[in-house]
Amino acid sequence: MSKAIHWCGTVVPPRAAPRRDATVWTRLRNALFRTPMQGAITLVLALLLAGFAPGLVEWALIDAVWLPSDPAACTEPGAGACWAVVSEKYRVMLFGAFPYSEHWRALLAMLLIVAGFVYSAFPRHWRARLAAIWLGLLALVLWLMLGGFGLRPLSTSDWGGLPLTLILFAGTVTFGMPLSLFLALGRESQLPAFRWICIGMIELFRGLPLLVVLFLASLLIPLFLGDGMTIDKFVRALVGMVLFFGAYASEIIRGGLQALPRGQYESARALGLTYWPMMITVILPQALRIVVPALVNDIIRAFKNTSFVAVIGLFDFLGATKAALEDPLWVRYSLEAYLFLIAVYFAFCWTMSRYASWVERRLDISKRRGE
Amino acid sequence: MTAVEFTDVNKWYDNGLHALRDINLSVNTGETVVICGPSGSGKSTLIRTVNALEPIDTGQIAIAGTPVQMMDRRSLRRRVGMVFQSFNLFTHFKVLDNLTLAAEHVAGLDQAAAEARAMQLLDRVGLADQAQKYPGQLSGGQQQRVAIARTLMLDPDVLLFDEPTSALDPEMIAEVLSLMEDLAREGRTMLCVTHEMGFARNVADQIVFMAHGSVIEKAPPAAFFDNPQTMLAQAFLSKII
Ligand SMILES: Nc1ncnc2c1ncn2[C@@H]1O[C@H](COP(=O)(O)OP(=O)(O)O)[C@@H](O)[C@H]1O
Ligand SMILES: [Mg+2]
Repeated sequence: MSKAIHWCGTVVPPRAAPRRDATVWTRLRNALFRTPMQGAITLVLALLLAGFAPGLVEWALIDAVWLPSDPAACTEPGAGACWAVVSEKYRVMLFGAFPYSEHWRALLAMLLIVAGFVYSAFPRHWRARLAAIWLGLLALVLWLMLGGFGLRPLSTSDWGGLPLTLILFAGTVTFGMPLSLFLALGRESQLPAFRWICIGMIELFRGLPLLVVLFLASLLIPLFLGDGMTIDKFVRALVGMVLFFGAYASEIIRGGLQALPRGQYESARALGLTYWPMMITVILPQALRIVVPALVNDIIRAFKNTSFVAVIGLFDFLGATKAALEDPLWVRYSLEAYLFLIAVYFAFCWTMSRYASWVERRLDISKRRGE
Repeated sequence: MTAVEFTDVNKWYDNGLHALRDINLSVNTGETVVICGPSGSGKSTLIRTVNALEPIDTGQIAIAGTPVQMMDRRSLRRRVGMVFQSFNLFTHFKVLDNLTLAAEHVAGLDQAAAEARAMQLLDRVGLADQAQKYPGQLSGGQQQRVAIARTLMLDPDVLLFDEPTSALDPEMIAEVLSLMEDLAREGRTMLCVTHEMGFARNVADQIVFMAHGSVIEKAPPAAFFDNPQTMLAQAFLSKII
């Protein structure tokens, strides 16, 4: 006899979650005055701000001198910030010694590079093709910057300012990424000699400060090339930057390769894939995806690092600004000029770091969705 | 016909562990062999030598008479498919692309032919409607069925299973086992490492019991389960059933 079932259980129907209302006011209070201690800190900071802000605003905006009619205007009693230095010198700061009449070419080159980075920012464009696009883009930039084929010929020693910074940056990433892939795979290679060479390169360039790498590149490369052959300063700096970036990025990529479960390699091999198809279709796409946030951070660092080349005598944005301020008429207003430089660098770096956190969140979300 | 033949096979891991010891074993075409034994006895090592995921040190393994060592990797792995405990689907590919990858890269099918075959196999494992999803969106049982379909894409002569249900929630084990049973009834040659003794009893033609890297017993299921010959097998069975 079967037992009679007289109770089928009650399924509690789902209800909407209680609303966690937060008015602007409660949120502010929670952010600023959650505890007495926190409240006290908030008050102290507010007082400090109230003390400094008016003076700052007065100096930077109200009493500021904007137009470069005459540097003398900046010396009048009561004059604030001398932004005139920027409106007077911005061409030199931005383009260095690049011939004035050709500035449009440098501007176009910059816009091309920025467009390239915007294009590269979208995950759906992360295909092998991207490398080819960058090579094409850089070829175009080189034509604009070096001339020939109908444009007035120039040399890299004419380059300066922001275009130089951006070209250096784009070149570092375009050549550094393939190098880092090469080094990362080489480091795991079955061929001992090849593996040791890769490990040696990685450890050498990671073990030296960038400045030393740049000096090495600018002193050693001509030595290797022997007499008679010269190689220009820009290329030497680029080689140094690429090696430095490649060594760091390769270790990041290696981290991704190791983070990937062994099962991915095994099932790819069990399906008959040989090394390169396995790497290209199965391993690298997943490994690189894991390390995208770290790679983006390294790319941002590469941008900041371009400012080191001023030390080996290239007139990048920082170097060109320094040079512009050698004008005795304006040298007193270096502060304002550097504030402008800071604003430009900050705009670039801040945009990139916002992008980095966006892309990290995005990859996280699509990972959680199981894609 | 002998599908897989082990002759005096020995394997040592790099740390000196003697993982396979004098293995002699032959599997006939169309047979299903279940390999069981305590954890660490060398079951995984044994079946991974068949498709050369693990190299052996002495002896010989032959697939339909040809020594594994003499086949190039690609054709060996076309003829020997493997299903893993943790599915190992390619998480960045949709289900359909998981199936077509090897067909295109290894068997050289064009995309249309590969997709047609993939859809046919997905249909066969009851997952045609999941073709456009990513593996992470499927349940464990579904993922393992996709993995089996992926292995079938190259139509291998021999199928290896390494604990295919051990990573599954209990309610999903049956769907995978019944698919494996269908494959066995179809006359495929299968080497399965599994702790599913019901499957072993009902489906296997031969049970191989391993301990300490050695094959201790080889017997048809009825004989093995009802009348184990060795203390080791008795002890193992008393724990697992
Ligand atoms: N890559 C390896 N290196 C060294 N020892 C290993 C390796 N893989 C497995 N072993 C050892 O070999 C023995 C057999 O392992 P395995 O074949 O995985 O056993 P099973 O699948 O029966 O549990 C175990 O003792 C295990 O620790
Ligand atoms: Mg095992």
